[in-house]
Amino acid sequence: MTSKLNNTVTQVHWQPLTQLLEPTGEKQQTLSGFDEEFIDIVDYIIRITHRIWEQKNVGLCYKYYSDICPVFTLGGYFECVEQVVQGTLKTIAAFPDRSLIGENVIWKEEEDKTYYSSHLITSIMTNTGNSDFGLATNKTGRVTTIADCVCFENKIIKEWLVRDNSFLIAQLGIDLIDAAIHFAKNVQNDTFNTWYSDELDRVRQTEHRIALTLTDKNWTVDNFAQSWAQTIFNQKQFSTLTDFYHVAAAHQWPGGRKSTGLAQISGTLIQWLAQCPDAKMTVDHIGVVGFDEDTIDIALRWSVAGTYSPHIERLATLKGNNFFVLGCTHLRVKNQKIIKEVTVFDEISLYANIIRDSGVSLPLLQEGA
Amino acid sequence: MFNNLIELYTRGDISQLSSNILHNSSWKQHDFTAYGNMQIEQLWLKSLEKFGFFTLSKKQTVQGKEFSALYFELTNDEANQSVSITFFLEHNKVHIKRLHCIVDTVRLAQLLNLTPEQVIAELPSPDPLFLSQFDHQMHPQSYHAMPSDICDMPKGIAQVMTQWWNIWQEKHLASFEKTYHADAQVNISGFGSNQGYGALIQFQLTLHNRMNRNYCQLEQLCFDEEQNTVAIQWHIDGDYLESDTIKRIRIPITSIIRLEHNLIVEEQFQVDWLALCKGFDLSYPFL
Repeated sequence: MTSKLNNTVTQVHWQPLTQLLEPTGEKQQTLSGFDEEFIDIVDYIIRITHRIWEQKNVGLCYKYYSDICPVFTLGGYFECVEQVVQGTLKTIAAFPDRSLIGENVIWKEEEDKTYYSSHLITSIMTNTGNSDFGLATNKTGRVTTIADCVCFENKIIKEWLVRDNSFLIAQLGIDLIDAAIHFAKNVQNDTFNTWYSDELDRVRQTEHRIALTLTDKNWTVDNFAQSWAQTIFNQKQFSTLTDFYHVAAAHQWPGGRKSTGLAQISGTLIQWLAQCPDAKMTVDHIGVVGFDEDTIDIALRWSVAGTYSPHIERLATLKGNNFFVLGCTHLRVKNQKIIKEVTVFDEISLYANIIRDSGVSLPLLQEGA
Repeated sequence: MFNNLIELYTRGDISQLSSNILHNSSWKQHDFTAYGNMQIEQLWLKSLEKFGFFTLSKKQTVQGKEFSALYFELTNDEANQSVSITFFLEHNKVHIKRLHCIVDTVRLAQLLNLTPEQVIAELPSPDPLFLSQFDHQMHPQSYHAMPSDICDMPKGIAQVMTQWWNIWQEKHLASFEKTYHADAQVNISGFGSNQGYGALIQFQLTLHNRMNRNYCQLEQLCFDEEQNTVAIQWHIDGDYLESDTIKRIRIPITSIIRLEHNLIVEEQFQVDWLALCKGFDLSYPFL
């Protein structure tokens, strides 16, 4: 496995923002149909994100998103650029100082001439306006987002967006289940409902008993990622974590779950999977770029589906409902072992969808739940 | 980079250190993580208000390749009181990507003539932390990080560091004797400075006995060959017993160690006890 993949394309990790916004290097990729100013796909993603969000040029969405641009999130489906513009404006109004700090962009040039980009972002933002989470809290919070985009001829034509909302609301002082109850009141459109139900069916059909053993001889990024999903998530063989993770790997999961090393990572995964004991996972997209001589960065988009088995007393009545997660993971892999993982999904929407599906009316905390 | 860190606190030189900070650098202090220049600068200004412009009275550095560490003490000459701070940083010699700063806030309270409760009230809210339950046992054939898994060190140093780690992870208390020099200088945050390792043994026993099902985990480690110094970023998870209630907690620690002839002659055991109290709603004193 070579780790010297794509090492001429912009790498965000050690670059100052001033340099990222004014790249001086030569063009590294063809980027057919893209504006001439962009030297590679990472440059495109970093600069358009900065222009739209940090410079607040919301209208640039018309330039950089196609008119029909399906955006999939666990909290809803948007189809066109108008909805992207409206959603962006609404978020900026509720969090006016929202920063989008680009941490990494892992990309792939697809066979159909599109570029796939997975953008890991940290945002700092103050909740001064009312939002989907409720009334303004005037508190500042931090949130991790991963935006997976398909880019073609200067436009984003499809996107999967995941945000660690449960970590954000913990800082804003909002209860997770209360937020989910609020979210559950949002009426979803038909496209979302069809996608959600189709995805549940698709992921549930995964054949989880087939062993995908990883050896030095068959080690490829694809095999590694598929084996990671099959062995840990589908077969729940937690002693095999040692085949995938370094003994001091850093592991960040939603809601403030921070683990280091095999014992803690094992605990995090067991506790999380226990709420969906028949969980099945599919890895739906894999991207990889080189980081340094012996290190690579892998971006995974994945889905988990199964049956909900509540571990939270307030959600006990939801037992047996459908459980579905759209998630994204960035892995830093050194000498074939994960040394750092950032996994993002929206835990509020996960519970909101279960609540909405069940048709059960749950009381909010202040109502004595 | 070390000088820039020192001059931030001794001279208030923000602009110099700002040149080492990226838009996506993170700075963790009092268990709160600040991201990017704006938030980090805000944290610096608060620190300067509390313990800025004092005299540098002690310094220890650990210059590694990707990770380095710095320990120093700042003294208020008028009050004859000081505060200790450690920094553990990921860097590329030009920029700092990630930094964990631990302030001995118990000593800071004494320096500022404030009660621990007053200092706790002024600390930033720590990052939300969701600690999942896990099996803390050292089963045969299970894998747990050792210092040599993380950092290349000469054989003799690696052996001492393994012994040092086994004292904490495996409770090999008898190893103190072969790991520490009899007159080793040991400074434990909130518990003061001691000659010899006796106080460290007592501290460790008290800590372990207040935390059931405890588990020590290494995070990062760096070694300075020229100075024979090692810095270890690690934490202890455990069930803390307080007034008949059990709280699962995590104690972040940075240990800065200096060795001579393969024995530890100096150790700074740095913990921000008051941030811990704030984060887990514990009362002070912790032990």
